[in-house]
Amino acid sequence: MRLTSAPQDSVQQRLKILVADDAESNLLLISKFISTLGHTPLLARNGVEAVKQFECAAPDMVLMDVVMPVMDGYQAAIKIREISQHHWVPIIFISAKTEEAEQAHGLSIGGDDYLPKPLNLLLLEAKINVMRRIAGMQRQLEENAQQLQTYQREAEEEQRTAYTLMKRMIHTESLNDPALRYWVSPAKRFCGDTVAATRSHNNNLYVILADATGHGLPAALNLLPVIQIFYGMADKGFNVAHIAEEMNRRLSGTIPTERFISTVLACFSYREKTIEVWNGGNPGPVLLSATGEILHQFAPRHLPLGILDAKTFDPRTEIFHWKTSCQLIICSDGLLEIENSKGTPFGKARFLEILTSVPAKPRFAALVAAVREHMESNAAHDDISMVMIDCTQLHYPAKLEALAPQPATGHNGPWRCQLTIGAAVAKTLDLAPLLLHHLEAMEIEKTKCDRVVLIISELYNNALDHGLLHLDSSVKATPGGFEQYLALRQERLENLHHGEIETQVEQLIIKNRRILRICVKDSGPGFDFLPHLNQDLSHNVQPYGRGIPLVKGLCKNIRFVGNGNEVIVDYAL
Amino acid sequence: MTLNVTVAINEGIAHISLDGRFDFNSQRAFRSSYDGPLNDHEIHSIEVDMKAVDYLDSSALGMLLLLKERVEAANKSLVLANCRGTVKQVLDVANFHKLFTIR
Repeated sequence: MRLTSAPQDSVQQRLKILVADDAESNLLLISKFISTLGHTPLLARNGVEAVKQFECAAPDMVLMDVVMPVMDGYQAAIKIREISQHHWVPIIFISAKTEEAEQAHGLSIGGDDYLPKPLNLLLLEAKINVMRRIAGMQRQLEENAQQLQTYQREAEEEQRTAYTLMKRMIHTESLNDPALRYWVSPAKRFCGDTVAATRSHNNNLYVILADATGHGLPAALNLLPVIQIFYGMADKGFNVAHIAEEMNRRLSGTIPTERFISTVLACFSYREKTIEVWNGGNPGPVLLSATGEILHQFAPRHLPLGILDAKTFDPRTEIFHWKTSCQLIICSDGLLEIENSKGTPFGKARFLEILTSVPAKPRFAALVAAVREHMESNAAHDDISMVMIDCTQLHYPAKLEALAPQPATGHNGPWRCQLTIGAAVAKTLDLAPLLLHHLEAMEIEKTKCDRVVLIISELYNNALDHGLLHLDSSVKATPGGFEQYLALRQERLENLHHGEIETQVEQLIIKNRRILRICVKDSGPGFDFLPHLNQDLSHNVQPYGRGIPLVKGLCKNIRFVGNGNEVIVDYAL
Repeated sequence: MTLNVTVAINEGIAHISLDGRFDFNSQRAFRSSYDGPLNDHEIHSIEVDMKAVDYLDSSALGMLLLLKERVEAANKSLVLANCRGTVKQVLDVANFHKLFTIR
């Protein structure tokens, strides 16, 4: 928007000046003088005429005699002010009544100046010029105010549209997960904090808490690409490091230098009992046991998203393996920094004290209540957001069994695809999204796609961990064993130079039924598979060995071939 | 509460001392403090003294990033000096030690 420039104090500007006086000689004198100044006089002989003229001719200024028949100057001035409530027109009284009290009365009922009779024409000219200047400025202010009002209305309309759009894009309904509770409190209408969650095909829960620099619309806008990537990649089961990397890649090219997004990206696997976290610039998610013991804090290991370029970005994650029921609490720095009326921040110490002193069930509500109490009725100057994930509510097997049989859809003819992965590729491959893409292209129904990806992922990971990396799962059962297992896996993966895994998926039509035959074969020495086949999943309390029984539960049959380095399963579509 | 910014130049180093609350409202004061030194060929280094900063928010971090970009474009060096207490904490959480020379 551009405000018009200030008016020129041009002498040429002709004004319409209303002159009200019951004495013809005065009328003649003043109107002549006004004409010689280059303005247009309008004449009235009493108050009623003056009001009428004012309404019809809309003068720029009024020179008003006080004592007139029918209606005096004061009454006329009051009427004129009533008529022109939103538009100021200067009124100058001209009167032989020169006492100070009289003058003060004239000014108090709406006059802008008071000139004594007999009239000094030089003074009248000066007053007209002053009033013209003031009226000019007044008019400018009115115009600007109107422009601002128009601008405000437009801006509000635009914001309403943007708000609706953003709300749709962030689709908060995915946050209605039994394992999750959240609280977001924006400092302005648009929030620079966002919380989102989604389940991948293998029922892993992905959660993101992102806090963009600043607040309001500009902050919220920067979150959109992050949220889009989050849903797009997490749904397909991409791993946390790849998602973080992609978010940063997208942001680093577009986000202004002084803006960035502090982000916690987390993936919860109920089956593996793991939490994988990438933390860039967040004060640190806290993991608590049911009794309030701090099990772990995921320190900020990285710079926020949107600062580093793709080459220097560090996507490494931290994995924690939990053993007993626990809750992870993630919050934005706005929560820790929120000040009460004395300027004292809520602070990390208070935050941790509440978390550790309140039992698991009322914990979240207690924290929200404490923050609200601390805020009193003050509005926060930053966005506040918080999310809590209850690991015991992630319910993996329960959801898996709840799938009702559905009629098969998709291609009815046979097809086959085969993927051979060498050592170099195995180091970084994100297999699940790749498979999902293939299966969707073959028009296999979504929930079945997810099952098939889960089966293949299990078999592939077994082939990689045991066939190629020679890892022993029983290590996981020792204290600290899981972390040890992961570290060992990482180390061996980095040093892997030989071996390959061959995955084949084939659709067969057997007795008019569609069967997917999945075969995974690795170049390793194989293993003793018999004990695994006879395991019952529901009685397995070990932190390992669930893979094969799980696959067995999902498939028609499972067969190991050779030394156990090749496995074939059939899945009925 | 506002941020007081003073600039002192000594042997080719511009010392920008900040005093008060370093947040979104300090944008103008902070930005105008380094325009001169950046265009001065005699100056090879800029030191931002955080000793008297009692609060630092994410928009302040953004301003530091912007300064860093400008300093690098001008082929000069940048140091964040006297970072303690809350200031140090905020810089640590954001992992800014990976980007800045912090003392």
